[in-house]
Amino acid sequence: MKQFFSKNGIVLLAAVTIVAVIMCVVSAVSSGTGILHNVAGVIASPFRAAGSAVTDWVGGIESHFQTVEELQRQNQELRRENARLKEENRQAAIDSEENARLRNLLNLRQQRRDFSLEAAHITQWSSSNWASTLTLGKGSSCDIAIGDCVVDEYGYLVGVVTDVGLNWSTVTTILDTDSQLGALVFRTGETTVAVGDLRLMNQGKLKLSYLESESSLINGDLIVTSGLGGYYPANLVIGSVEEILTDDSGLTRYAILAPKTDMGSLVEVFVITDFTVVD
Amino acid sequence: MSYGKTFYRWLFYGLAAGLGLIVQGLVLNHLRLWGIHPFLPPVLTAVAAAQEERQEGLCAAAIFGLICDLTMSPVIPCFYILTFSATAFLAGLIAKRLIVPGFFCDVVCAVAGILVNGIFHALFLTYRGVGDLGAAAAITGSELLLTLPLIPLVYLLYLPIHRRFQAD
Repeated sequence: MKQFFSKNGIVLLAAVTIVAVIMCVVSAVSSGTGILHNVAGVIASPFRAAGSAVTDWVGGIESHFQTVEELQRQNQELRRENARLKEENRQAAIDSEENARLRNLLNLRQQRRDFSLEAAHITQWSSSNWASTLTLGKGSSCDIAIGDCVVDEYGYLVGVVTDVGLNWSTVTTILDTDSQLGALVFRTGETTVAVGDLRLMNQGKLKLSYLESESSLINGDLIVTSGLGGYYPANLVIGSVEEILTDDSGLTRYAILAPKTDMGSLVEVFVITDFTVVD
Repeated sequence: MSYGKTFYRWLFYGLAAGLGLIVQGLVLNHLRLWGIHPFLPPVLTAVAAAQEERQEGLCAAAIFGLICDLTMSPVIPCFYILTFSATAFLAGLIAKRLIVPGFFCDVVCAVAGILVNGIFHALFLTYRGVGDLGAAAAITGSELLLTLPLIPLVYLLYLPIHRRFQAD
């Protein structure tokens, strides 16, 4: 064996390099997830899972150092929020009943949103400063497909699946420059587009483009997915407006959005593998 | 030097680079300043290529690029193969033609590697219509500033391997 490598080591190295380059170029020009990429993802999956377990363990140790005062303060805040949410929930139940009665009176179909969700653990975050992606520990074997929306436990939009292997999938988050989503201003119903921006990505924000000239957008407005075209489900919360600005030309306006989901604290997400929305 | 020694030398370089990737994944990715974290792979490539023969450095850079392409999420599937090959070529050129090999030369090559990585990213993002040269320059500059203090550590990581096989 040693003799083999002594004689053929550098030739082997060069051959591997050439094959690697050819395969990568082939996978670059072909659409979808290439077989090489898929196999490599399957092989890398256990290592990603191990890395994720170690990171979670380190994170767990760090959280033990939180002070008691801090936890008490958080507990108080959560109790207050819980009381407020309970009150809102009671009001929402009354509103829903009223809404159902009115829909019946007007002969309208019942509004409903049925999502098939697949829970998945995040096994890796993008190592690059130039992209915002994450890798999940589940793939096509769990019905996850390219284009599926990914939400957190509160239903806030995290991103869209852009690459799938057998037991892994890559999610491009809403912050990435590749991300482009049809959006709706919840308060006014105005349609617009939420796009990732290189300048804002590392600040954890995104951009709301193509605002109408007479747009009445205000800071704090909630932005949701429009669902136009039926490609993504409607009314998934993207974020809220933080700042409204005019571009360099002075002709068009755009807004800076703060996502509702806390990207930094995500551990597990939910992939919407199928959906039915009736408005 | 025999082919076997070449193989083992690069095997040790590979293990050291693997250690670098683990540190990147477990530690550096979480150290953020201005929203940016240090990025070690171009430095790992550049320093190895500067210390060793040009052709070998190029081959090793391409393989390391392939590993990064498969484990990270590049802007195009073969992005790191292209970037690290260019970095190794540049590092070889600097080490063989411009600056006497040593610590200073390795630092210059590592800086060149980070800049090549930034320039390639900016080019591809511009090609795809989502580029912003100002933002790209800001990211590259921040990445360079944050990664700069780690270059001596990479140099010290590779130095025993370089010396061990150079002595042979």
